[in-house]
Amino acid sequence: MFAPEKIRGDFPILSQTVNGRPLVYLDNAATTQLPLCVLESIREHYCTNNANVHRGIHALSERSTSAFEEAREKVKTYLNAGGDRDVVFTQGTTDSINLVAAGLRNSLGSGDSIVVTELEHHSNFVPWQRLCRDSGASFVVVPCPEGRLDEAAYEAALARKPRLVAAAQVSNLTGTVLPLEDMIRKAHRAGALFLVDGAQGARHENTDLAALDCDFYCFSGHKLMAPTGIGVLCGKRDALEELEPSRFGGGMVGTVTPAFTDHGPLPSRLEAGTPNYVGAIALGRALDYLTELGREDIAAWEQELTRYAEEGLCRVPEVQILGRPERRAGVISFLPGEVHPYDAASFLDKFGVAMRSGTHCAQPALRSFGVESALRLSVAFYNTKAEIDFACEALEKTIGMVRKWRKT
Amino acid sequence: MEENLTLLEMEDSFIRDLNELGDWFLQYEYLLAISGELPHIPAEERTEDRRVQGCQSGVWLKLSCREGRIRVLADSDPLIIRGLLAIIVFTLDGRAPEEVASYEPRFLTATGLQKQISVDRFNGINSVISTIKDFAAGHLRE
Repeated sequence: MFAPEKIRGDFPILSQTVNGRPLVYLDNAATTQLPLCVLESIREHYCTNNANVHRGIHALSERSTSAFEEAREKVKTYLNAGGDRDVVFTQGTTDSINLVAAGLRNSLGSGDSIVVTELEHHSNFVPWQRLCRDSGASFVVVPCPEGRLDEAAYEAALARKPRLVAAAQVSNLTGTVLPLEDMIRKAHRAGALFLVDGAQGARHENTDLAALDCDFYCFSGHKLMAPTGIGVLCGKRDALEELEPSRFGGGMVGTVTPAFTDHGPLPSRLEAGTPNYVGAIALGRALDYLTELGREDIAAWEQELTRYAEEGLCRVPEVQILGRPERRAGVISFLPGEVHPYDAASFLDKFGVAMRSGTHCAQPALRSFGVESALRLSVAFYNTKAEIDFACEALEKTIGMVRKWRKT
Repeated sequence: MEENLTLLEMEDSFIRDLNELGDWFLQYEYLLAISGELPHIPAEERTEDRRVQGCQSGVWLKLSCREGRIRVLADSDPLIIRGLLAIIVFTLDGRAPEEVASYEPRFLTATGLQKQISVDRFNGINSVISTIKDFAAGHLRE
């Protein structure tokens, strides 16, 4: 039986009070907290094994390098990446997507197109928009009314034979789980590469890249109980080979002469400079932790919490939930009646409830609902139903208090 | 609002009110209440050139100088922000350009409000005040 109360003991940050009330942390879509074992892995590495990786043959460098490469293997295992895929360590999802976009720049022309969905986070929207602007390619945004993919519009976009489709595994606004398997199959049939933004999906969903068959998969460590500044680009080797490096420096080269420099092999070709190896090692430890807890149990509990939160929010008078996706994972955005989300979040903070307000870096998606900002509740496996109850009560009080001052 | 207070007296009256209230809940409620006293800038006048840079949730400023007095109108959607803007507007509207240009705000730091609002919001409010001060500085009498 999954026991969040016991698991909370692993996360010291959760046991504090904020404004005199117990912290209720429901902003997990923005960043998740770190368990002690991950924090300890960072300390341990710096205390015992720290040295630059792939740079020396002395004992510390060997230990550091093998821990770093072990972390790469852990990521592959976690994603079931298989032998035909490679893992490139990056700074995060945004960095991974930019690496792919920059890597395709010189091979894209005015006859090409790139397809994204309307639900994308700005990180999986703006780099492609910019790439299209620079290369003359067309930028095609597939509408997602009510947080659901418009299948007909998607197929129409594929009929233009795009070079690449980029889509989120889970929307950070509506929590929509996009029908990726079907989308990827269709994109491949149209000859397009497919990039999955797994920032929200990597924890909630049991990701199996061998089954999913996408060409690129990206995620961030800090949404998976690891520190900030570490992320992953996992790609099919032949797709990664197509990417031209956009950063140059140590570690990514073969021979360097004044006349000529050739690039080293994957994955280091795309990892110029000293990588964030401690971040990678900590990420590896975080993946171990999630595996030890049981990934299916985590997914099931987060699913249950999401369902419970949606029911709870529906019972709060005036709350309007954004989108009606077929399946929702971990994230619910909503409007607190006539109360501005900014005001609501300010009051909730005073109740100790951490929820995000604003555009959630998804302005096109938000605008499709005709609004400029929303509140967002996002759960992690260490949250309890009691916390959801408290948050809903605090929200109800907040709406009651603020509403009476609103003059139209 | 009380009439004929000097700029400093006006700001002092807000500081006194907020400090007497003490806790965050009453302070927020006070801001919500005075937000209702602040006139709105109509949607069609919320133009991009009136939008203050650095305010996350959107703040619009309508500034003018008439008969040697700086006229200030400010608006935003969230009521807590409108409450803060109300203090600024009631303190600065109708003052001489010299007074506005040399205004050094105290109502956030002297009341604990600075700790209540986020860092981004604090910077946003400061950006509102500098925009008004810059405007006033451009209308100083020779």
